[in-house]
Amino acid sequence: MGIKENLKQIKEGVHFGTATKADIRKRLIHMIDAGSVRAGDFERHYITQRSIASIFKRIKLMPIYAVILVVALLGGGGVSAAAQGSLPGDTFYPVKVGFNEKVGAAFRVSEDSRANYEVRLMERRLEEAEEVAAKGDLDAEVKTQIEENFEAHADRVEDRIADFEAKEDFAPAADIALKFHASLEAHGQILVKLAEQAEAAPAADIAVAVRTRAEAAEESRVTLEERVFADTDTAAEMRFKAYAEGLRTDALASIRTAAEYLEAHRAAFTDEVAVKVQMQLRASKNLGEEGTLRLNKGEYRVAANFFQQARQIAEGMIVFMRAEVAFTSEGAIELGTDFRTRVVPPVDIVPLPPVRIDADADSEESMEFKIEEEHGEFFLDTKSLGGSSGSGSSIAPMPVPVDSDGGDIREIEVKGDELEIKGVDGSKVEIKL
Amino acid sequence: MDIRKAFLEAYDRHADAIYRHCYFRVFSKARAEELVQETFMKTWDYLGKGGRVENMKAFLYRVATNLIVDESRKRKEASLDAMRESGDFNEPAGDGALDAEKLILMREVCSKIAELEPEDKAVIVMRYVDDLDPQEIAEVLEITPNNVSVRLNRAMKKLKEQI
Repeated sequence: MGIKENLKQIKEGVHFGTATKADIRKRLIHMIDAGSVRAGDFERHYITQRSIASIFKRIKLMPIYAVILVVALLGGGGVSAAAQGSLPGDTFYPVKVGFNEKVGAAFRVSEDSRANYEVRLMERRLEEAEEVAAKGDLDAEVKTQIEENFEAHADRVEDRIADFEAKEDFAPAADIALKFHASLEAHGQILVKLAEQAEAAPAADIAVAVRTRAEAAEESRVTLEERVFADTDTAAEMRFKAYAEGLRTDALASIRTAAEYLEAHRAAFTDEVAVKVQMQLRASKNLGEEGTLRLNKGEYRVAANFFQQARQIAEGMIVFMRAEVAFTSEGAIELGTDFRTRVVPPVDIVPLPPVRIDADADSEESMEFKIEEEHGEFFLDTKSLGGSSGSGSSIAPMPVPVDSDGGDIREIEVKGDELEIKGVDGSKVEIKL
Repeated sequence: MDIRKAFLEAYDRHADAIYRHCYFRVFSKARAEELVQETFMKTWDYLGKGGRVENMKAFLYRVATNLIVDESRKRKEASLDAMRESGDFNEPAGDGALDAEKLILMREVCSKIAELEPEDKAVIVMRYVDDLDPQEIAEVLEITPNNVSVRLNRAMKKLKEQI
């Protein structure tokens, strides 16, 4: 069969869902009638000149919107922007949750992206809680507000999961449950830490609520995944494969996001924290690679498991880094490095083999080695030892735990019986030989 | 004429075709849905600013094509590599799901189309998925029909070589 016939046959299976079509139509009508108030890039929104008259027509009907829009018109839209950074207890906080976020939600089309947005909003509530706690402003009243908001958002995420489940759409349900769990897990730990360090007792209460949800989310994920793999019909194998592949894409995306975040906010982290995150991401990548191996062998279920763990670590690191950036910029508190994602990687970080240094064993001087890359692996270049030990050294080329994407570790020094791996950004890891 | 009414009629008439076009360009259900919404929003913005549209169908295709090209420029590596690596084509099931055999066929042909250059992909999808004739494609891309035929031949040749 030719390509044209193939395409003809295939295209008949591609339909714009009736519900989605009606949904978008509704949104377009809303946009037209609201006078083109629309969210460019989903986050910003602007008001066109010609829409002013129609906005005033609606003011009587929508008091909250009216206040915001009037102030926005007078003040050039600054309120909504100012509200974006507000915290529970602030004047503009209701604008942020009542308006900005609703605009954001209205412009998310697919059920998937809406569910993801709900998770993100729930995360924001927890980030706010952490910020308030770190500042020491978490009193009983604010705590109640935060708890209510958190529970409401978490309920909505669970509703989204239940919606997918009701439609027997188990894969996206499991996917959202995974993200939900990873995020709750990480935030739970941060809140516990804040409760200890900042002596913010109310944070501990929130942490308990978060942990409870986290456990439920994990249970729900496991059950949903059972359902994904429970099918036995002829197309099941292909769905398993698609599911594992989908997880792989998500895991890679999470790892990439985490690595980019680390790079963008490097200045906000201490060397210790940066190395810690790099190591975790390395572990996450290893899990991903193992997953890919299993995927290629057709062991979809095992592969899925590896990808989930990889993603969980990366998502946990994203949450951790965000919190770290927020707190250190406030100058209030540092989370430090003992943050752990609770996943235990089934594969270890590639260990460094023991190294014996004959030529300069007693020397106090440090030696510098070059690192060479080969097929994505990094090796110590023994030739770079040069003259002092004649023909080279007893160090065999050895793999080095360098992030092949970041490429940010370029130098290794031997100091006495310690090996020091330095990054170009000033970070370093010390390994006892 | 009531622009609002005409616009909504255009949506009812062309939304399905635009969705299909977008789907075969980006191979993601969610992204295609978003592109449909963006396409009509942009079009409304244009009409609202007093812009005139003579051929609505061609105009919508042009807006959609521009959005897709903009996007692919922005994240050329990410999307193509990710797709190639993982074969991650979202199942497009709208109201009617595809059977397994079609799905396999689809993955195969789609993965080949996904590897084409954006301009080649555009003409192939418009001609064989959207069933536009060269005259219509010429209008969308703002080039001559002759030029369309040349591009189409070249793109088909590339596709056949790959398959």
